[in-house]
Amino acid sequence: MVKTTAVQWLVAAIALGVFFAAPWFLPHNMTQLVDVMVFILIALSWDMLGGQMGYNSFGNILFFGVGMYLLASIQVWAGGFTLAVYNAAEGGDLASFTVDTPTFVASLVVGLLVVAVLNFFLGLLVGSQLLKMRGHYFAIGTLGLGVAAGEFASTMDILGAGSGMNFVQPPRTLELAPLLYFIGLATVVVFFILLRWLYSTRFGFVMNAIRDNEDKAEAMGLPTAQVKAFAWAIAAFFAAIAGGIYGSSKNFIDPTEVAFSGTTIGVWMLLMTLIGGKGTIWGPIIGAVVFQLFKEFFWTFLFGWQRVALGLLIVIIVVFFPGGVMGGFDNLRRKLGIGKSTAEART
Amino acid sequence: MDKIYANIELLTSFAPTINLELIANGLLVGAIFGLIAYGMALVWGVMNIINVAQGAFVILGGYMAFFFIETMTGILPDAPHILWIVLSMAVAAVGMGLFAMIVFRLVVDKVLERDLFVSLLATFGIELVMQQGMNIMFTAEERVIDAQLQTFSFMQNMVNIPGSRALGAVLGIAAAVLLVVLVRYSRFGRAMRATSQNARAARIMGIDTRRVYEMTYALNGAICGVAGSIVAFVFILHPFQGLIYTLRSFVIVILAGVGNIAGVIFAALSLGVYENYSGFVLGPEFQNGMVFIIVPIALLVRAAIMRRKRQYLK
Repeated sequence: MVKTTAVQWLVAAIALGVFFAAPWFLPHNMTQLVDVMVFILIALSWDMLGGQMGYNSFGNILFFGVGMYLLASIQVWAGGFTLAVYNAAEGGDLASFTVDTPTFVASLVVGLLVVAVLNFFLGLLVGSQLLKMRGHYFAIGTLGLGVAAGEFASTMDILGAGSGMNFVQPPRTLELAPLLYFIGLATVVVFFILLRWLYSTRFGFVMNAIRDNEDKAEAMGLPTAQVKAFAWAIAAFFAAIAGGIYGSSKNFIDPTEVAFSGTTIGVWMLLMTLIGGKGTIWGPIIGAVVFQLFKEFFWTFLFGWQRVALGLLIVIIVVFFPGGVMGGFDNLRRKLGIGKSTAEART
Repeated sequence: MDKIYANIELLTSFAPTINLELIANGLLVGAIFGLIAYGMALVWGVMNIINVAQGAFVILGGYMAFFFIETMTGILPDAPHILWIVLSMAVAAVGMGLFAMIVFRLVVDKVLERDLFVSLLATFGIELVMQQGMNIMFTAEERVIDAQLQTFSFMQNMVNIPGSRALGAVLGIAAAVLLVVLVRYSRFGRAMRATSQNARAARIMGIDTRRVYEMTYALNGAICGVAGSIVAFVFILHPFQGLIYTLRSFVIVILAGVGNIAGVIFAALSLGVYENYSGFVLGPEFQNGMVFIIVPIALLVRAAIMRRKRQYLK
């Protein structure tokens, strides 16, 4: 187990303080701040497989979308409505489905937990099968799974079919964005602590062994199949929470554009991890923040070309800066000859 | 569910001739998928890169053909339409060949020697750039080339085969035959096969492998251009339709096994038939989903087969 140095404690404390204080400094950008929390969660959960275990998945969006739909359905159910009736309603009729504040908050928080646990088992189930493949077969197989989920969701009438589904309207007196932000922040903190602990245990070392050489790990008698499935299940747990928060903050689910969007959020989570540096615990967090800045910048200044710019960003990062920010730190440190590289202290 | 049972009943007892129509149409579209998959298999086999941008290449080739035909029929409205269709294939092939060459020099060349995931993500990035770029330049309007061919009907109008599909399949097969001949008998084809078997040995024997990679990628672009011009009059053109062609070709190559041309043809025809059946039985809104879901299923089946030989997909 690697000991936490004073510097690391300091960095963690400062980061937490900044995130905690952010809503007071940027009160008009609450939706973007909620997005940052969601992005950190999905980037960290992607990195569990992609960075630590060497399984590059394009399909984590599956859990994101399933989490979103499940949370919306749970909230509809908790409000005492029927899902089919609710989704058949349109336009002004939606306003008649109101809930009071305690019900709304309770259904949100408890709903997120239920959704996460359900997705944990979904992750176990899907992972135990899909993780039998390796390398790019796994990557494209998961891509197919994620996009297929969107296509099937858009054929289900009970979930609003292709026209999507609305979340239950929050009560007028409730400020939803700050609530979601702090739920997100709390989840990030829990996830971060969990990952730090996990990566220092035997479980984490098995994950790394799988990345470095799966055949040898298996030959040494390590329980690779179980570890892979459990790692994906944990990633699914947090990806689902992220999906729930994201959907709740957007207040609307589109099956292929928001929930199961393999070509936007599905790739963004990889991009964020790569920007930050994959296989490190701080990388995804830095990457998510930097990515959100890039994205807001593109959306503000590039009038219509922002999505092209994001695609170009993927190509540029992949081709020229595969190590990301943390890789850059590493190089800098090696040149200056101070400290250990993050590759050595990868916890 | 009732609708699905009704459809199955229709196929099995009331109107068995519909089966013939589904199979015939499936085989015809399968020929087009096969052409696209063949390009992917070529790049995969020679360069060890999965070209996720394949679908976007196809769609861009289709747009080239579309705008070529639109301008030419504007200038010379009296010329036979079929002439423009055949010429548009050549235009799209050359245009996409050059485009692929540029993409190769800018991006693919730099990820050739790297980890597979890097090339996968880089071509995915190219796919996104092209998809969004086409969306801006050509708008999200669905476009289609009118082939001006009638539908052939057989068996008291129970079996209908659109003339455009038949033409598309014929042109696709012609292009594929040309390709196989090129790969098998030309000097360039021999260099390509040598590089795919052992790149280092090929380099020692004096083959400029980088040039071979570049030409292979450009050839794949030309294939996509031809396929795109066929797609433009058989199906529809839409900027976001690319990914489904990528996944279709991926499924075909997986089912066939990399480097197995006969397998590619067989897998492509089967996929066409499967797609038509699932679209008919479950309803057209399920067709895309059924194509996507076949990707993980095909992989799992293949992984299960390989595990019996103590091998893994990697």
